[in-house]
Amino acid sequence: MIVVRLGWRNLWRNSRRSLITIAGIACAFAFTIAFIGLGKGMVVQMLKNGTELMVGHVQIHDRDYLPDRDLYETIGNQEGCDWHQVIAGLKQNQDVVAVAPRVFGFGLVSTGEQSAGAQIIGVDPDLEGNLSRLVDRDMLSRLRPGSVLLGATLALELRAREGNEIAAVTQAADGTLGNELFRVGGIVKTGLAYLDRSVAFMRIDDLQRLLALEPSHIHEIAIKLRDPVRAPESSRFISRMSGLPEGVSVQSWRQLLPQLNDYLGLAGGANAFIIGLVVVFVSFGILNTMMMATFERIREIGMLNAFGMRPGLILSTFLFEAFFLALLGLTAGFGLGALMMRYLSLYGLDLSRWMGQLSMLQTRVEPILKAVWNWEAVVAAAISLWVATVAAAYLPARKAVKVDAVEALRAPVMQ
Amino acid sequence: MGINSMMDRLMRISRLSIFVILLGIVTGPLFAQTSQQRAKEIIDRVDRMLRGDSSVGRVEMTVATRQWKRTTELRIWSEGTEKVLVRIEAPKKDQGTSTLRVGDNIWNYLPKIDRVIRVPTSMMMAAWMGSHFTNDDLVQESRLARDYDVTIEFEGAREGVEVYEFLLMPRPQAPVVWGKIVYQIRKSDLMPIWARFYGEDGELKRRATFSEYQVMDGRLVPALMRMTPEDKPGEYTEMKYRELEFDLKIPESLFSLKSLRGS
Amino acid sequence: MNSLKIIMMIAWRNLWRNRRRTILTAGTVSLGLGLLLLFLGIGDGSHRQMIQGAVGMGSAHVAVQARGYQVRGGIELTLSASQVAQVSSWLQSRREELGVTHVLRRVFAPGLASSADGATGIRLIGLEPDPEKAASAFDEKLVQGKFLTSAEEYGAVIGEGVARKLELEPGEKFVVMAQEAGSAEIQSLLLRVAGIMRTGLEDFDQATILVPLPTAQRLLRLGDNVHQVALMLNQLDDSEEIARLGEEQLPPETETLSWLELMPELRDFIKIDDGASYVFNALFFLIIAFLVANTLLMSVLERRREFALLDALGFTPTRRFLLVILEASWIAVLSVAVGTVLGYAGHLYFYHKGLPLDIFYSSEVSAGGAVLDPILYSYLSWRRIAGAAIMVFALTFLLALLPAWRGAKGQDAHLLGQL
Repeated sequence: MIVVRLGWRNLWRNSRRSLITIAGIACAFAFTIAFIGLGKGMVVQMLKNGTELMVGHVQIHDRDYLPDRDLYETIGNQEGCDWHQVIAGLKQNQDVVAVAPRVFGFGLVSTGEQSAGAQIIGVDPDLEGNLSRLVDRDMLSRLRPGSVLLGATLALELRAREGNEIAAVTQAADGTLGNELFRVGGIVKTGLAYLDRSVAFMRIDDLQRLLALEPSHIHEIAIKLRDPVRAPESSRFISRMSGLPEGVSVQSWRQLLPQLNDYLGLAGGANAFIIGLVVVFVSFGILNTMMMATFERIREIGMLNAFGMRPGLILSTFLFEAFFLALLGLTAGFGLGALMMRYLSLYGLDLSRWMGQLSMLQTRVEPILKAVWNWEAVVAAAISLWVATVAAAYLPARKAVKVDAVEALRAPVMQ
Repeated sequence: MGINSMMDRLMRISRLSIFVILLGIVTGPLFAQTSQQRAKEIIDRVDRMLRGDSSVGRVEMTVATRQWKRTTELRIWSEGTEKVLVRIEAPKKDQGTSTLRVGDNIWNYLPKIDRVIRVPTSMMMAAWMGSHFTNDDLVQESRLARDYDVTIEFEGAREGVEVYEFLLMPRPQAPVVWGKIVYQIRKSDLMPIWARFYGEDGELKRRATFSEYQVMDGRLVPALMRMTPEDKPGEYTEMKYRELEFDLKIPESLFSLKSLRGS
Repeated sequence: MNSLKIIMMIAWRNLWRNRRRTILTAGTVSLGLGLLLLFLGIGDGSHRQMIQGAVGMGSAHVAVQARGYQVRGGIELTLSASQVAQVSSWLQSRREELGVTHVLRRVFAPGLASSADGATGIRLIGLEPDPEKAASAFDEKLVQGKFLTSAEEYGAVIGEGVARKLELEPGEKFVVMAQEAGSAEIQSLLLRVAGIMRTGLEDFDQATILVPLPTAQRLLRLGDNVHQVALMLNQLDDSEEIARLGEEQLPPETETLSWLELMPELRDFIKIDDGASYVFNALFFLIIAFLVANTLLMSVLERRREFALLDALGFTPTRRFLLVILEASWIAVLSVAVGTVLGYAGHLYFYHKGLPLDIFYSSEVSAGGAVLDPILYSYLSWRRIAGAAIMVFALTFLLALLPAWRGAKGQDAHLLGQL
């Protein structure tokens, strides 16, 4: 159609103006993409911080294990399970980054005169180190057979230090009093008050022995995924995996940490609100630019009118111009934005300059903010900018077309 | 001598607690006397007994839970109302595991690791030796008299047996969790038949039943006591007395951390 | 100078002769500044809400404790009655000046709570019933029953989780066991449930019990000693200053801490959140800058023609430059003024009505150890407004200079012919 070609050619008649406008749209869009990406990145970072401390993204338990954490409700119940197999099978899944088995018990830890109740967690030091950020990897590597790691406040209460001897006494699964001596391999400062007050880590086999549990009996398998946002889908996929024992339940962090789920909903909502405002603002800005551009061309419109071009045709030409401007601008913007996203999603922004002196907890938190693609928001922003561009061309042009041709021709350049 | 203080003393006799059973169970021939006269006699006897009363015994404890059932043989020494020493003699695996209670404090000795461990406040409500008794139960028994008011709720025949039913109500501000405790005692020989523990809402929380009344070292005692929690049907802890001796001369040093470890 | 005034007027009129250009440029800046202020207000507001919320949950703006208590804890590390008196007299004269609204004495201890149905480890807090009712938020968090009163010495407020574990309802009894100060003796006390609270904080709901201060002191055999004297302030921002004063002026056996030291997790959470906000706001600022520059670039040619005309009319280069600077100033002033009004208006709206985010989630949510209010209220300090306004002013001024500068410099007489 002629209006299309006309529209396109019009663009290049005043290339300076067109290029400025295209550059404007492009940069605005690119920055908006970055903004959106960082916004989602922040929410994802919160998700990671909330789950990667210890919970992981997906967990496998016996169906009846939660919420009471009954000692006897092990994975696979009476028969137990070949959890080494299960872990190997899970690791083959390309979505899975790390897997850690765990055993939980409750008992008394004592230096003799100083005793305290403790939550004892049995872990595989290597596997746990890959998954949990609660305890440093090198701290975990100190978990040799017969070693125990104590929470900082617990150690303080027991007046225990590294190298000291600790007795652990539990109500074992067979009714006897499980009791053994351990050496304090290290003190753990998790930063979470209730954990520091009561947690003790030891090797899985040590705890199983203490609790008189068979080696095939564990309570929990925690899984870390490549993409934590897709945890619910991954958990469904995993639950259909072969080799899983009877009666297990596979849950994602959404179900395991409903509070975190709500918090992310809140953060996501606040984020959406802010991004909405930013997109509106950016659209408004582009609208302004376009209006400036179009008003400059009132004379042009007058001339076309005087030459007898139908108003409808004039408008259509302008619309197509705007259409092309938007197309070129958004495409360029997308390219630029993608480049920015590449950098931001790989390297991110290091926020640690603002951190200064932090409590232990926050050192467990990644200080680098990485951007994450949020396609819905990007598409919404693109649409919004497109509409703004076209509307900005349409409105003034429409007004101008109505004006008497002669008046338009007479209009001074300065408006 | 008021009825209350008589009941008071009687209560000291037939308290519930595995260790209490060893103390001052009154027996002996009771002639047809007025209840007041009988009471006086009982009280006198009890007073003599309780002053510096000591006992040594062997007990077979069986604990049944939903997942397992275990029997251990215990040897128990006690002195007055404040000192108790319990040692496991069988099975071989647990032999030597001991508990010492002196006043408010409890220590456990674990022979496998050869360590003495104090039981902290936070574990007072934890099960003692895997049974349905708590560490706190060990400590509480000396306080029954102090913490409860006693009245006779019922006097008459139940299932053909003449009994008293004593109602123990906690004194105001007494730090006990029970709403009330009811004892059923045989009138003829003052043997306890059962004890029921209720929450403040009137709901039955746990109960103890006594049976196999035998004479040991000249006294009539209920040799078998079974404790059942109401919220875990099918579970119970049973204490069966094999031997019991009273008024022995127990050396003070027995109730010490040192002897806790020893043979 | 007379001519300065004239040029100022010309500059102003110039703005309005190109009404569209002025409105579009200033409009972008104003809206941008307005939004920026809105973002700042909501960010700061949410942080303050978190702090006030946490402070009202058994913490304080400023607290006086025995030295070392914060790090080591321990029931024996107490403030004696005379030390408490010293704090009182220190505050006596200064209360108005420091803006201290409440002075509260508190006791903390770990213990065991048991009922006929269960037992669980707890943290006992002894509070002064009437002052705390006014100063803290516990009262508002009650879901059943009522708060502590000094008349009911054995009435306790327990967390919802504790109530569940022990199967307790208001009016029912339970026993608390704790180790007394300085010895291994265990003391027991009978308490009755006065009220049940749901704070949204797991630590509190699962394991905290509140009792009247004298009752706790008696249980722990503390006599008149306490663990903490908590000060609530009028102005949250004065916390650090007052803590510093306390540290200097109160006896050395005591330590005076602000909420930042009492709740380091919260402090750090806010710090990180601020850091991220800083990034976003900076990016937004860049967006504003970019859009405005883009708009102004459009008008470079036009401006060159304008200045060519002025040149022809006899305006010296100096005067043309002055005109440029003044025009840029006017636009900047205008934009910032409108923007500030817009931003402040937005802030006022959210200050009174709040931003209702509770459509996004259902239950209580906590972060950094504090509960998040579902409705965010804005808080904008003059410092923030000034900071944003100044930056935007500078930006607008500089950007407005550019095209005009280009125009003013030029030997553009030839452009005049191109009408």
